[in-house]
Amino acid sequence: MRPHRLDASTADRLLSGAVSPDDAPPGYVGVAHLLGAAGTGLGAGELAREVATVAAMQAAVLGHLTPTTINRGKKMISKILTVKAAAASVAVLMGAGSAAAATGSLPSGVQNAAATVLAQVGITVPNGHHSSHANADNGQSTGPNANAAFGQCTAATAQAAAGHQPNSHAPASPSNCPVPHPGNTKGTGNATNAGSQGGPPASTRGSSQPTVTTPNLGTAGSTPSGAGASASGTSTAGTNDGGASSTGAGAAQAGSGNATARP
Amino acid sequence: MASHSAADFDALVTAAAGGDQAALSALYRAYHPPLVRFLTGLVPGEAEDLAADAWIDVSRALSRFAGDGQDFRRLLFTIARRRAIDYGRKRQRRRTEPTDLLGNTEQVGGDDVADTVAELDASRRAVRQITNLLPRQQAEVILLRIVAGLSLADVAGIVGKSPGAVSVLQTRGLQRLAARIGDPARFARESEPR
Repeated sequence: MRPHRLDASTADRLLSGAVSPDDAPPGYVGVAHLLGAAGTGLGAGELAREVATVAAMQAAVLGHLTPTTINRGKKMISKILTVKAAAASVAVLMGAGSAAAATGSLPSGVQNAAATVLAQVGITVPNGHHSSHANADNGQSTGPNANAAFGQCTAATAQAAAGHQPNSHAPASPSNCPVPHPGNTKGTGNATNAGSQGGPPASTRGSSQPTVTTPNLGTAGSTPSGAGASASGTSTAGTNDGGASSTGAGAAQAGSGNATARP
Repeated sequence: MASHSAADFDALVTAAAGGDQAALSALYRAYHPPLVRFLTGLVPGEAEDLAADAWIDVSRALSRFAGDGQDFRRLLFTIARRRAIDYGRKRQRRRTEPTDLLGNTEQVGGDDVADTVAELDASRRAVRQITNLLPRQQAEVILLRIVAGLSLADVAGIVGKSPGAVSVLQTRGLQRLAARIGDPARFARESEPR
């Protein structure tokens, strides 16, 4: 069926209710009736929910409806979680920074700053100068060569005193010793204190427990291995310069690994 | 639609924004019937519930509403239309129910139109007939004009089209209706409840 022609103005008048069905253009009488029926009249039950709906509307206008409250609650929860996440992040970063400062792992400038700040609150951490030595110690004791040599010498001397054959792979031998401990200027440390202050514990592999005389260890004879001797050095250094402790530890590892006495 | 004048509606909206129950009730009585009819055309079977949701939404907006009675009517039907569209999208996503008229962009009219609308009152039957005979956009524009009583410019703003585009839609819609129900006798037969 072909659509009847209709101009925009007449269409607008029809939709505005300005054209009655009797005045409708040819072919649009039925349309005018339909539009009139759709635009007027009150259907059955259309206002049945009036009381309940108006009460809900009033509550909504006055802000008493729960959805708005729920939205506010969600926003509040979101804010709280955000603050908690931020606080947790700060705590983790502070903990990590403190740990790094305590172990002397920070860059020199930062380590110095951390040492200065923490010293004001009674916490002693290595300063930047010595931590740089510690950072240079990548397992081979390249930085504290003097300490490594000292530990090796001590171990080799202990082996010789115990009557064991020196390890052919050990770089140090009793003939090269004694090597003065580079970090000990007072010679006041002992192995027991060293162990309690964070240095590696004295090795017990040299079970014969020979007395070893070293230039700076008055009581180091109870620790036949280089590790024990170096730990003593750690103790000594720790009393007057905390930065040397990590250096001593590195020496202990080197000496222990290369010259462990085997009965 | 209502016996109130434009100035009356302006005053009613102002009072309703303050939570006045009588004003809210007057607005509800004036606009709820056309609102339900409009939604009946878009989402049959859900018109009452969607209308109630639209009333709550518009009431929430009333506290910060700054407009007259005509602005309120435009806001009400804008919210109702958005509600109907959201409902249609949700139902299409679920895919557990057949697509309703909201998603039907082609005409579905025919001899069974009268069967579909037989159970409804006269005004709703007319609305359903329009939506069954016309593509969705044309039906929506015509319903906003004749049911909501909105101007061409207002309808253009609600559906997001230019007034010219809306004018074309409504003209073509009327032409299509005339082509289908141009015979008054046939229209009377199809409009009669069985």
